[in-house]
Parts: sequence; C-alpha cells; structure tokens
Amino acid sequence: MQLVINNLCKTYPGGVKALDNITMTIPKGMFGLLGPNGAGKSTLMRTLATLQTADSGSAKLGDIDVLQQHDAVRQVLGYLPQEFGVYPRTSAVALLTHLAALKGVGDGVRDRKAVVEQLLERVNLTHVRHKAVSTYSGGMRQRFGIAQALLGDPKLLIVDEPTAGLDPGERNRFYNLLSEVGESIIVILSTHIVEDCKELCTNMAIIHLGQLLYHGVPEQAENSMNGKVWEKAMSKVELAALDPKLKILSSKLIAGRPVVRIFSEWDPGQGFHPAAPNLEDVFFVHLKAG
Amino acid sequence: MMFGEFFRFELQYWFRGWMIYIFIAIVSLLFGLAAGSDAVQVGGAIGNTYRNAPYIVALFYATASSITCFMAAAIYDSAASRDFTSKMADILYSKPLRKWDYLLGRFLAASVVGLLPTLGVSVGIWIATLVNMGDTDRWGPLDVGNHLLAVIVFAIPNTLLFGAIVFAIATVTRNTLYSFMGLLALIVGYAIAQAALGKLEFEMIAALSDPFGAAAFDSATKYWTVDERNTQSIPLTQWLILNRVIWLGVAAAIFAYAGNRFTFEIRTKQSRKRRQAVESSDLGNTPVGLGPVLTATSLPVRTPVIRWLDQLRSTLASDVTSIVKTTTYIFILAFAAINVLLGVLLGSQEFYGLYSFPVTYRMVEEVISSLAIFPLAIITYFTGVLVWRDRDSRIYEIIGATPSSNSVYAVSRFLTMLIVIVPILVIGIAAGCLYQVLQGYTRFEFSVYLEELMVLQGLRLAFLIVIGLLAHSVSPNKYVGYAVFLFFLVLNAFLWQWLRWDTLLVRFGALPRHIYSDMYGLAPFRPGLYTFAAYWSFVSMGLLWLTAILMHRGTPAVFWQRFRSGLGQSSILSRGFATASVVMASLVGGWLYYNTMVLNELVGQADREQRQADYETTYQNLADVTQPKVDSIKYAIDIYPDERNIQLQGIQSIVNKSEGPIEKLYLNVAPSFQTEIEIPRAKLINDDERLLVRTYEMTPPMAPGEVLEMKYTVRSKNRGIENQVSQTEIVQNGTFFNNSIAPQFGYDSNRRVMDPKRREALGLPEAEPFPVLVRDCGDHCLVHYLSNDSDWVSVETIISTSSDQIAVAPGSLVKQWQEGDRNYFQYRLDHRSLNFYSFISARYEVERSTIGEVETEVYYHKEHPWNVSKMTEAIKMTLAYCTKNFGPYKHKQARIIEFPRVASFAQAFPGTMPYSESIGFISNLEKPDDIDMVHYVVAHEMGHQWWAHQVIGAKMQGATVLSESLAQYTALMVMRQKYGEDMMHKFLEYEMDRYLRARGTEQLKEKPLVSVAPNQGYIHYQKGGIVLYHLAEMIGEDRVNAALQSVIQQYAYQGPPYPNSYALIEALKQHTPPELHGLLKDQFEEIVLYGNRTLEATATELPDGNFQVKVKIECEKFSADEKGKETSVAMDDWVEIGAFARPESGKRYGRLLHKERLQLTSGTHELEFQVQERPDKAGIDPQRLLIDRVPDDNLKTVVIGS
Repeated sequence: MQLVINNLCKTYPGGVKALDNITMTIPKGMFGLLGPNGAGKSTLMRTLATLQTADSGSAKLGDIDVLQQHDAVRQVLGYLPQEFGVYPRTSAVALLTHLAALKGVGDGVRDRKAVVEQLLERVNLTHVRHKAVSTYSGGMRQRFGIAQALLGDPKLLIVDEPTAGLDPGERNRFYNLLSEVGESIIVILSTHIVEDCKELCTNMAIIHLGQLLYHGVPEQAENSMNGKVWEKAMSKVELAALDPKLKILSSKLIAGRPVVRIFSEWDPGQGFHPAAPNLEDVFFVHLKAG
Repeated sequence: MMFGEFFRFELQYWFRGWMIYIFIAIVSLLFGLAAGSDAVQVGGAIGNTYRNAPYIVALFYATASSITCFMAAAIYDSAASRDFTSKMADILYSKPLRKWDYLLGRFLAASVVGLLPTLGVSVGIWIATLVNMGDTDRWGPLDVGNHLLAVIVFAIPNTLLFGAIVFAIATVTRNTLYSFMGLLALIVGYAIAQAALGKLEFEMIAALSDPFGAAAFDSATKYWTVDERNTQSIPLTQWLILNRVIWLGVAAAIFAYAGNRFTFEIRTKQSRKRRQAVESSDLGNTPVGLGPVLTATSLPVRTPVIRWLDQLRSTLASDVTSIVKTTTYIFILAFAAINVLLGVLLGSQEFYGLYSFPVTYRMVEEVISSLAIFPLAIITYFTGVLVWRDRDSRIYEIIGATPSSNSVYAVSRFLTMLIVIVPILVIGIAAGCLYQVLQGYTRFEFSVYLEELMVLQGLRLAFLIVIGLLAHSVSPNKYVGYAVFLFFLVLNAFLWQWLRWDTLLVRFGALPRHIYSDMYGLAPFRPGLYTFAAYWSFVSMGLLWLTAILMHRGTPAVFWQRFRSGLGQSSILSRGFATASVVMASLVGGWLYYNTMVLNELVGQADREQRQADYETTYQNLADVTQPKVDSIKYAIDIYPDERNIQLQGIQSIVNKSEGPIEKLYLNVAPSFQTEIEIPRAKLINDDERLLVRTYEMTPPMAPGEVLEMKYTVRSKNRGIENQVSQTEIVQNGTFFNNSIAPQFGYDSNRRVMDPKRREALGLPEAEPFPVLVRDCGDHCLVHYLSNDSDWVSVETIISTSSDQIAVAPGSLVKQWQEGDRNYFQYRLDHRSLNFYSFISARYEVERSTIGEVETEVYYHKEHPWNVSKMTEAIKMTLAYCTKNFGPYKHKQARIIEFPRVASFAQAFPGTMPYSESIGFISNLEKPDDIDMVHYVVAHEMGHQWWAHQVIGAKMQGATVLSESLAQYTALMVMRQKYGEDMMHKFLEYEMDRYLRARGTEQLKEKPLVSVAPNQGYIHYQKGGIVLYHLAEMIGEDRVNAALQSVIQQYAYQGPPYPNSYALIEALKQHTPPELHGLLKDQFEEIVLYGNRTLEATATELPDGNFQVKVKIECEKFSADEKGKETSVAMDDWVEIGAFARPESGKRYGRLLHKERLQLTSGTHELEFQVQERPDKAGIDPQRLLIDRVPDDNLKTVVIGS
C-alpha cells in the first residue's frame, strides 16, 4: 500500500497558498517531510489526516480516496498533531481508553483495557498511567501522543513535528519507537530538523511555500551534492565582507567563529575547502533555489 | 502616569473588540422594544404613562442592572484575570509596577466600559422616542436630565458594586469561575431576600437590602399617579439615598480589601510541585526497547452499529464527567436547591399574605418558577462548553482523526445535557415533596410531578438544548455561539407575537398552554400537548442532525465548508435519519395544521380585534333599537364530560315590552358553538357568521305586549386539536359554563375593544367604557348592567350528565333520576332573578346544612375538604347578618360550588356561588393571625345575593357601587364581627395599598366612586370598601345599615327603571348628620386624598399612673383629577387621633388605648390626651380610615419623657 498524492492545492482565505500543486508518492516506511516553519507541512498532514479540506487534487491511500472517504481513512490512521492538549483532570488510562473506543479498538471494555495497558507499557508510561495527562512533562506527553496514534494498528501514521521541545534523550527514545513501527506501515514525519530525516527516513520531501522542492531518498540527495559544498571558517569582519555572488548555504558559529558553507559547482577559491555534503545542505540548496 | 497608561490600554482593548458593541446593541434593542411596544415588558406594563416618562426611564435603569450586571461582570472579570489566563502575568509582573496604579487603572477603565451596556437603556428609549416623535399622547419630550439622574442613581453605583465584587474575587482567586459564582450568589441572595420580605411589614428592609436600588425606588414611587410618573424625576428619599450609600460603601470596602490582598506574585507552586513529582519518577526510565507485538490493537470486525454505540457510550461518559465534575455545575445545583427550597417555602403565599395547602400543582408551579433560570443557565452555558470542549482543550485534532461519526458527538452532547438537567428537576421534585411533608401534607402525586416536570418541562428543555447545540455549531466561535443562542431565544419569544402569527407551529418548541386542575388533571390539554410535543421532537431531531453535519471537526472552517464537508461525509443512515425527521415533522405538522387551522378556526389576536372593531362599527346603531325581552326560560341541557361536549336547548318566552312594534330581531350567537334558532314568524334575512350576528324579519311585526315562544339549540363542537385549548369551561370533570352561550338580543357593547391605544390603532373613535352616569335617569335606566335583554326571569332546567357526576343549575332541586347511564336533575328558581347564572357538572362531594328555611350546600372536590365547614359557617353568618340588617333572602338554598382553576374567581349567581378551586378551597387557614380569605370571599359573594341579585344598578357608570362596593362592605362587616378590629386593620392596610398602587397604572381615567366604570376594580372593591368602612366608623354601622335597608326596600327586585349610584348616596345622606355631608361628597363624588402625618409623639407619666400624650401632627388634603394630578385643597374635616399600646409578641397592633374625633384644618396641630396605659404609638388617623398618600407616617413611636 502506498499513498499517492496528485496536484493537491489549498489556498487559505487570506490568499496564502499552503499547498501548491503537490504531487508525490509515499511508500511504506518512514517518510520525512522537511521544510521551514510555514512551509505547508502541517496543512498537508492535516489534509491527509482528514482534518482539513483541499481545494483540488487527489490523495489515495491504496484504494481509499483520502479526500472523500474520511471514515475509511480514519479507520487506518494514526495521527499525532504538532501541538495537542488533553481534557483536564483525565488520567492517561482513562483518556487512552476513551480514544480506543472512538477508534473502535477492542471488543468491549475489558479487551480495550488490555490494549491500553499494553500501549502504555510500550511507551513507558505505566508508572504514571493514573496521573492526569495534563500534568505530564513534554516528553511524557509526546509519548502519550504516540501511544494514542498507535491505537488501532494504523496503516498510515502521521506525526507532525513530534520532537519539538524534547531533550535529546527523549528525542532518541521517541525515534526508536517510531522506527520500530515504521517498518511495516507508512509513517509520515514532518520536521524542520534536517538531521531527524537523515537518521530515520528512507524517503523524504522538501516543501517550501506550499511547493514541493525535492522528493527522493536522503542519501541520494546527499550524493548528488558531492564535490559541490565548500566550507570556510572566518572572522565576523570577513563574513560581513563576503563576496555577494557566492551561494551561501549556511553560516554557523563553531566555537564562536562563523563557519560558512557555500554551494558551488567548482572551487570558489578564497580559502574555501571542500566539505562532505549533508542533508542540511540539500535542504538549503532547494530552499534558496525555490 | 502609570495609572493613565493602564487606564488607556484597557479602554483601547475593549473598544477594539466587538463584545462591548454587541452588549450595547442587545440592551438598546431590549429596552427600545420595552419602551416602544407592549410585546416586551421590563418591570411591568407601562399603562397610561408616557412610554418615555421620567418614571419609565428610572424604572428601566433600576431593572436593567439585573440584566447588564452579567455583561459588566464579563468585562470586570476579564480586566482582572486576563493577565493570568493569557499568561501575560509572567512578563508583566516582573516589571516595576505600582500596585494601586495597576488595579485602579484596570478597575476604573473596566467601570467606564462596564457602564456602557447599561447606557443602552437610554439609547433604546431615545431611538424609540425619535421613531414615535409625532405621537404626543404617548411620548413625552426627549429629556437628558432624567436619564442622567437615573445613570447617577442606578447605573453607576450598580456597575461599581458588581464591578467591585467581581474584580475582587477575580483578583484574589485568579479564577473566572469564582467571580461569576460570587455574582450569582449575590443575585440569588437578593431574590431570596426580596421574596422573603414580600409582606408589607418588611417593605423598608427590602428597600435597603436590594443592591440594585429597585426596591427602594419602587417603595418611593408605588403610589405615583400617571401625572407624577410623567413629570417627576427620581425621588431622592432617605431610603433610596441610604440604600445607594450603603451599597457604594460595600463596593468600596470590597475593592479596598481585594486591593490589599493583591500582590504581584505568580502562584504556581502547587502545580509545579505536582509536575516535579511526575517528572522525577520518569528519570529512572529505561530506554524503550522492542515491546510485544501489538496484535490486540488491531481493529476487530464489528458492525458499525455496535461500534457507534460503543463510541457513544465512551463519549457520553467523558462528556457527562466533564460537566458534573466542574465547580460551576455543582454551584448551580446548590443554588438551584436553595432557591427552589426557599421558593416553595415562601412562594406559596397568596394575596393578603396568606398561604395555601401544598397541593401538588401548586408545588409544581413554585418549582417551575423558582427553578426556571437554572436549567436555562445550564443549557446556555454548558452547550457552549460541550461543543467547544475539544477545541478548548486542544485535543480536537486527535479526536477529529478518529473513525467516529459526527453523529456520535451530536447525540452524546444532547444526551449529556439531558442528563445534567435531570438532577435539577429531581431537586425540584424533592423540594416539593419535602415541603409537603413539612406541612403534614401526604397526598404525594408523583404522576403529576413526573408529567409536569420531567415530561413537559423536560421536553421544553430538550428542545432548548437542541437550539443551544445548533447555535454553537453554526457559529465560528463560542462567543458568537452564545450570542446566537440568546438572540434566538429573544427572537422566538417576541417575533411571532410582533408579527401576530399566532400559530404555535412556527414558535420553536412551543406547546399549547395548559392549566392543571385537581379536578380534571390535564385531560383536556393532553391531545394538543403531546401532538405538539411530537411535532417539535421531530423538528428537533432534524436540527440535531444539522448540528452533526455542521460539527466543528478538525481545522476550523467556515460555515459553508463545514456544511458541504459534513453533508458529503454523512452516511446513508444519517441521511435517512434526516429525511425521516423532515417527513415525520411535516406529517405531524400537517396534521396539526389541519386540526388547528382547518377543523378549528384559529382566530389570532389581530383578527379577533378586527372583528370586535367591525362588530362595533357595523352594529352599534342597534344600541337604540328596541328588542324583545326574555321573560321565562326552560332549559334542557346535556353534558358529555368525556367527550367534552354539551348541548343546550332553550325554550323561552320573549315579550315586546316597548310601546311600538318590533320588526327586526338581532341575535348574537356564541363563538365556537353551533346555534340553531327558531322563532315564530321570523325569517332569517342575514347570517353574519364572521361577526356572529343573525338578523330576523318579523312578518307581521311583534306587537307591543305580545309574547312569543322562542326555541334554540346550542351545541359545542369539540373537534380535534386546537392551537390553544378554547372552551376550557367544558372539561372531563368540572364543566362550568354560564347562560351567556345562549343567543342574546341586541347590541352587546361589551364586545367592543376598550383599550384606548388599540382603539386608536384600529381607527375607532374614543369611547366611554360605559354609559355616562345621569343623575335622574328615567329612560336611561331601563336596562341593568348584567344583561341587555331581560329583567327578572323565571328559570326551569332539566340537566343531564354522566352517571358519576352531579349537575347543578339555578334554583331548588325538584327531581332527580337516572336514565340509561346518565344522571338527570330538574331545578326551578324559587324567585324571579337576573338572567345570569351558570350550569355546572362534576364529581362532587356535598356538605349540606340548614339555617332557618335555607339549605346551605357546598359542592367540593373530594381532595379539597379543608375549608368546607368554614364556608358553610361563613354562608350562615352572612345570611344572618344580611337578613337582619338588609332584608329577607328569597331563595331556598345557598350553594357554593367548586370549579376548576381555569378561572380564579368566585362569582355570585342567584342562590349559587361558584368558587374557583384555586382561591379558597386550598387556602391554609390554620394560622390564627392570617386574614381569613375564605370567610371574606364567601361573605362578599353572599353579600351579592342582596347587592346585585336584589338591587341591580342601571347600565351606567357607578352601577358596580351598588353591587361590588356594597358586597365588599357586607364582607367587611361580617369579617369584623368574626375577627374584630385588629384583623380589619391588617386587611384594610392591604386594601389601601392595592388602591393606591392601582390608581398609578390606570389605563383610562380614575373616576370618583359614584361613577366608577365596571372594569375599575380597585375603585369599586378597594376604595369602595375603605370608604364605606370609614363611614360606618364615622356615623355608625347601624346608620349605614339603615340606609342600606331603605335601598333594599325601595329597589329589591324592582325595575326597570333600575337605580343608579345616587340612590345609595341619597339613602346614606338621609342617615348621615348634616355636618358630615361634606365627607359623603368628598368620598363618593370626588377623588380626595390626605397627606396626614405625625411629626412628634411624646408622653409623660402622670402621678396617677396615667400618661399624658402630646402629638404634633400635620394635616394636608388633596383633590385629584382623572389623570392623578393632585391639587392641595383646604381641609376642614373630622379626623381621629389616638394611641396604641405595645403589641403582644407576634402581633402587629396593640390595643387601641384612645381615639377621639376632632375637626382639623390644614397645617400643623399640637394636641394632647390622656391614656391609662403606657402608649407605644400615637398620632393621627390611627386606624388608617382615610385614604392617605403615605399611610405609614400616620403614627409615630411615642417618646416617653419624665
């Protein structure tokens, strides 16, 4: 089963084009959706999660028309929104049991309870399962989020910027969990952190201002940049006086000194030396081109 | 500087939002409509006063606060807690702020904004005034001063008070909820206090304790006449000023307290601690490894229905918990419980401070009226909370992505609201039963409670819930949702009336009116009630479906998007449901349409008025056309209680009593009855079915003195369901109709439209409500005021009813038999009487007794036995008093017959007094200090056996003095005989209060007693009673009775011509010493009021143990015109002065220690007298015999010196 998106468009009432003719195919496995804030990632994901309508285009999950057959999509969907809250004064067990019922999981209350216990165990929340979810820390809440998304054995799992605000340890644990389920189903993961994609995803897309800029495999993207990325450490004064013709990919501080990476088909000279391309370079190349 | 910044910023915040403008618009609309139309009433009907009179402006402002305080509360609460709810506090409070600048800046700015909605009152009134500029009869000039004064006296202090309370609670607790609770508590407390202090004795406490100032204003203006209302500005009485000072002080104190408690500190300690606890347990966390394979999470194969039910169950549990666990809900329940308990405890008071037995229907009414606001509040508030719950807790995307149908949420929310409403209704029932137990009343009728509260009230609320949910589903956010809901409520309540669409089929959720009676239950109303309920249920099902379609699911979207997407995603089942709802609603609606508009005629208000107007213009020329008079009648009546049908056949002899021939007969027939008429030699030449008049031509004409026999049949036609059940006089148990359903000759002036404003609107000329009083009337006095077409008639009746009922007709029972399964009774009048009586049938118990030749009978419903013996006793006492003092009783029986509470009066017919179940049969007379209403009403109605049924006034103004005022006098004398002076004071105090209040709301012109119009009850009952009681005090009861006896001797069963009110005045004059003739003139022929008051009262104890009392009094006398304009006149009248002893504990009055009558002139007088006991109160007119503008200042507590 794969998700086929064709010419998907969405324009907001203010005139902002959130999705501009997006066409791509998302196969089984982890799929990274990369883009800066406001690129249209969330719009795309919410549309695929049946929470928003598109103006035109189509999206098909196997035989299911995502834009029309909402209920059919929801039956196989797991969704973790970018930001979510919970009902006040409600424990993880209670809330998860309720969501399980809504998803149609389990046969009766007892069965559902077993499912919920199992899931909470899996995301390591068993010890706090009777505490109100609203009192959880960011990481715990996010794990609760993935637990609910996993309810009902989804075929399509959509997670929208799931690691924002998590500490590195939490982030790792979260990705372990994701990759574990990502082997057999479609997992769409949106992020603006390039490393995440590289670590996790077998496929990826870059979108910006509603447009699809790149669609492919992360390593291939990197390989395509071989020999075209150059790097130089310099002082801040030099940085300010840098040749404006150079295609700057990024400028980072390393130990307080700016390190500038540029894109160039040939050696730019000026003290730049070749650097191994990474996904971030790919991202910025496409962003600047777009 | 900093203060100014906060102030300015706050103002800006509000003026940039839309809320404040909506608030102003709502208030303007409400009060504009209240001023401009009669459809919306605020604080009572406007009456004859200018619709924008200073009094109305003040009244509106005094009342507005109870509505606008919630708007002001929202503003103050936001101003006080916005920094916390928006989490701005973290940033703001780290700045170097000065506390009082911050608080005062916010508070004063919020006050300015919070005052604005209330100013909508002026906006509304001004707009209404401008719209009606030309109409100078009903609209006064546009003046700013009075508006300003009302703003200063009511709007500003009230806003500050509520502001201080809400602001204080919000600042201290930092919780929106508690500030609203505080306000609600204040309002409930206020309502309770006002209800508890409803008795006249507690008026001043009520005036001071009312935080709105409305009670103080009411107390200061309650006796205002139309003229005063039109011209006077708010009277700054000491009570009103004191009230304002007290409550402003309270506001200042609360604000100061809150200000002192306030610190710039952010309180999050507790929640942080909790979070740490959770987090620390997270630390020992091992990395997540591969867990067990999640086979159990796979979707089982299940039918959609089971899945749907499962989802519903879980959502319902979640929704219900989310409401019942909130403090708001628990608070509302608690308040409801307190309110309903106090409601039933205090509310079962009738007039004259009297209580009733707690029969279940009364409990139900009390419960409904004291609960009403709470279910409404719950529905209003929590439908919003529920619909926006997922959005507010930001879980909506997770929920929205689950494979659950919108219908799950719509149905769950609807059921949740029903479930949370039920406890309130249960509390109501429990309170009712508890009160019944406390009163030792054990006839619990749970079926009545259940049907009235759970079923009927429950249905109304269910319909409302659907509207609440729909309002939020169509709206883009919660606030618009609330506005839409409230707007709909207002619109639905007033629009149809304004459009004059009377059919209930358009008024959402409307059920036909019903009146429960212990006699017939709800039987006549059930078919209509439940068919309309079914109709609205189907409509509501359709609307509930619409809420599901429009559900806010996923990313916020505009209305049309939601509608399209919802419709697109709806299942076949869902569409089937919608179709079924529409089809069923149409079918039931169509059936109702057929029943209410085709089978029955729906004559709307407008149509009815137009017909009245047309009747007047078409037939008024008949007023002077001679018609025959009815002389003797034989009735054959069949009553079919179960079918709610009657048939009345009459054979009556009609006589041409005039000196000329009668060529044409004009007969009025009763609406909603089928009438057939047969008159020898008469040919029907016109049948006006719309105006219900039939014209016959006599060939040859009816000769003078000729007697003809006329036959007619009148059948009721109970056909299916009516829009509102008419003919409530024909019911399953307790049928009660009078002979006016038979055809009547001539022009019936009672059918005219009398409201002068309506007359004007219909293009009718101004009209006197009743023929003008002519002193020497002769030809003007040929008809009496109860009937146009008869004098004294003889009546014989054969009446049949079902086998379990007793039927009663006028006169003695001659014969009684059974035929088939029906009971037959034959009655005959023993003496010719007025052609004015009723026929009654019900399942009765009868208490019989005799006094002399007369048999007394009380026919009563078997569950209402309490006061039956008292009634018998009252009949006997009155019979004895009247026979002794006025003249013989001409009937062989005196009957009281209970009838259902479709009407709440007692009425006197010859020898028969139907008495409503609601006003005496259930009165609780166990407390010895209470006024014995039952005795009083029976005595009054018995008095009518002489005053009306022996002496009847000619049809002109003042006629009712001869009947109502004299019956009232009779009742007062009989009451005094039984209960003594003390009780009479209490009674007369209420009567005086009612008279003085009523004259202020007079629609037409206040008349002197001698020319009172029949609809001016406050004159012929209240003033008439007071005046005659006063006269009896002045000249003696014997002399008054001697005069009345002479009236009886001269006029009993006489006429035509009939006497007018001067007959009484002349007779009284004969028995009044000449020096008091001025008094007669003042009291009967003028409108005179006194302004007597005691300025000082002191006493010294004398060596012999007596007390020398000194009083300083002031006398003033006014003469009022028809509009209540009073002019001071010189006083030279006989007035009493006197003193009372200290009352025994629990009593209101002490013994009268001294009374003497002095001739006093206007101005102040210092007077002395001696009493033998320590005086408690002394002053002028101690018994309140004179009509005094302020009766309360007649006496002063005596200061005892040495």
